[in-house]
Amino acid sequence: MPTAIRRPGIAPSDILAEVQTLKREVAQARRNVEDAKKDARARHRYQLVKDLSDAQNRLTDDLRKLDRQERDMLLALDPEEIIARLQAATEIARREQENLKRVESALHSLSQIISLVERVIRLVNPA
Amino acid sequence: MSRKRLYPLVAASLLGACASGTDFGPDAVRFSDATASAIAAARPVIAPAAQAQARAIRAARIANGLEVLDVTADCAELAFPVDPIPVDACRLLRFSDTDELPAPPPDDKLKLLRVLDAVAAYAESLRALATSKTPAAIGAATKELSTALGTLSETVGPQGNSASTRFTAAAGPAGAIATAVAQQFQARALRRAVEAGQEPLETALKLVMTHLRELRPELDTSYDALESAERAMDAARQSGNAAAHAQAVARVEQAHSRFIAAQRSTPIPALNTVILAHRSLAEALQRPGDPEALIALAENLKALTQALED
Repeated sequence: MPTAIRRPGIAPSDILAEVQTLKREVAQARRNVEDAKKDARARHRYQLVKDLSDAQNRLTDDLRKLDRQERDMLLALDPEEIIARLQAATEIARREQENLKRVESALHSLSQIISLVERVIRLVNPA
Repeated sequence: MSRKRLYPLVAASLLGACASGTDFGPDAVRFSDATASAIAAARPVIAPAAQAQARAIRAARIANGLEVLDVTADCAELAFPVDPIPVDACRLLRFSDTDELPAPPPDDKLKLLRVLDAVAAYAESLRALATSKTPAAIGAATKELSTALGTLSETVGPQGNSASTRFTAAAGPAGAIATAVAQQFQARALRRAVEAGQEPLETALKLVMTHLRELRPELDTSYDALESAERAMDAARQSGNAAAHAQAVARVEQAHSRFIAAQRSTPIPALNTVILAHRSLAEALQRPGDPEALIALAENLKALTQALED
């Protein structure tokens, strides 16, 4: 079965990502076998259906092992680190909102400056 | 600056900033709503385990002679008033660190509640950004700017009245375009926030779901039972024993019902919805723009450039 191996120098988050990719691939393989089973049933090839079911069972075992690996790795993660990363994303959203307010304020200031210039011109040249 | 140089500058600044005027507010709001309800469903499942851990930590701190509570100084000032202070300022400071304990009890469920708080705060910040009234305000500010420019050109220009008419005609579309520009700014702002949140949000929710699965072992056992029942059914069918096959079929049906009921009894499907909603929001923000919004924008741009060229 496919496994993600802990290697020195590789971040735990990268290994977790690798496990998740493997899980996705095994799940996809199970779906592909399911499609092949439907096709075999339609062709009345029942021995093939049985063989495919056996293959699907083996893939289920792989999926379960990978899931256990993923769960252990997730449980080993430091929640404080995840909280900090979520807070950083929250802070980005807040900063972006402030930026939007500044755009509005800049446009407003510009129109005020133009009105002022217009008034000065009228004063200098009343005609 | 001459009027002929000023007009293209205004037009270019609006056109340049404006690739599409798609409103991502509804997507972000849907995400925020899904998150709020998923967290509301997850909290009561995690809370009892978290409370049990909090009690264990408190007992361990007491057993080791460590501080558990302190009363803030404000309480004394409420009792013996110096300057006016609100009643809420009198609080109990609670200490729940496990670092100093020789054999600390686990605190992962306790921390999980804070992970949920962080997810909720992130979703709320996206909602605030997406439902910001700023696009409308920018539209109004640009209309104001167009009016100011019109008055200025009327003052300095040789054909004041004609310039004023043209600006008045342009002011409406300019306001609409500025709103679209603001939506574009908003979409970009949302995209930055969502990109930053994508990975930590998914990891946070997967962590929460993993803990929920640990708290609810029936999720695993009900699938194991379904799988065993299915394998037994295949074996019974291949054995040619019709009665055994019929019984095995009934067992698969029961196991399936129990598995689905177990899944539905947890907030896990709701938390998965949050992941999907966030992904769809990220994808929507990556799309070049909603076609209808682009058509409306193109019409507005045409109206503006015509008004400026007349």
